Amino acid sequence: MNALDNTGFHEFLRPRLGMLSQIAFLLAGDHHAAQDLLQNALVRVASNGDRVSRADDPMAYIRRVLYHERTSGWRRDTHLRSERSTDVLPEREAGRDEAGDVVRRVVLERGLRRLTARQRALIVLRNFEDVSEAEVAQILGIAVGSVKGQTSNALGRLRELAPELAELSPETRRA
Amino acid sequence: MTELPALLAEIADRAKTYDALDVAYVRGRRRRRVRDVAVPGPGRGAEITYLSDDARIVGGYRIGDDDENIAPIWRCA
Repeated sequence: MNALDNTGFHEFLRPRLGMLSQIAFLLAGDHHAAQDLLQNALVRVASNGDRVSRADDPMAYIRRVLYHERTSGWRRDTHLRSERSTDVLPEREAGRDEAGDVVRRVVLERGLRRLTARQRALIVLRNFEDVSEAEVAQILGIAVGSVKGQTSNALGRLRELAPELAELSPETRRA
Repeated sequence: MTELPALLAEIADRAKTYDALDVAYVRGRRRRRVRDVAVPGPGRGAEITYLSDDARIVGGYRIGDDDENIAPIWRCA
């Protein structure tokens, strides 16, 4: 049974596609890769339709598949890591008169692209999704004790890659 | 001081809503064509490669037990 053909599954998923798309975009870094990432994750979910219907929290299961798809895809597609498709010319730093936050946003995007998939996932989970350390551990399949240390390392690496972000507050909204 | 969550939210706001379900539907309509050219595999979960109707190489794997249930998962020009 293909869960993607299940009307109930569609009705459940459709209002959540926006949020899933945002997570996919933050994880993948560009629209094409994000669309592929989300589609691949949903295909994987569809092939395990029974697990979705049995899950206490189907959305948590789908998000877990999405994060795993990103980290496993990153390992699998090593030849694609240095390539990034885009439909616009890269933004140039020189000569631009951007507001401070816009510049920091661009710098942040570039910094995120240079993190590992795991580091990126940790930052998105903790700082965008506002997920607790216990939930992060469950989603990524790592020990709770590792979440804090690895997140700190990811933020430290981000500051190395983008010193302009040093003044960013790394505080997450939930302990 | 700008907070990281706020900047991440700004980036996320640029995401389109990727209608992956519709993409699956669109590709699903190619199943008859897919069956014509699909490389036979051992069954559920088998990776396959085939030509889509716009003559692009498409990869996928079986989510059912036959060629009627193929989920395309990647493509290249």
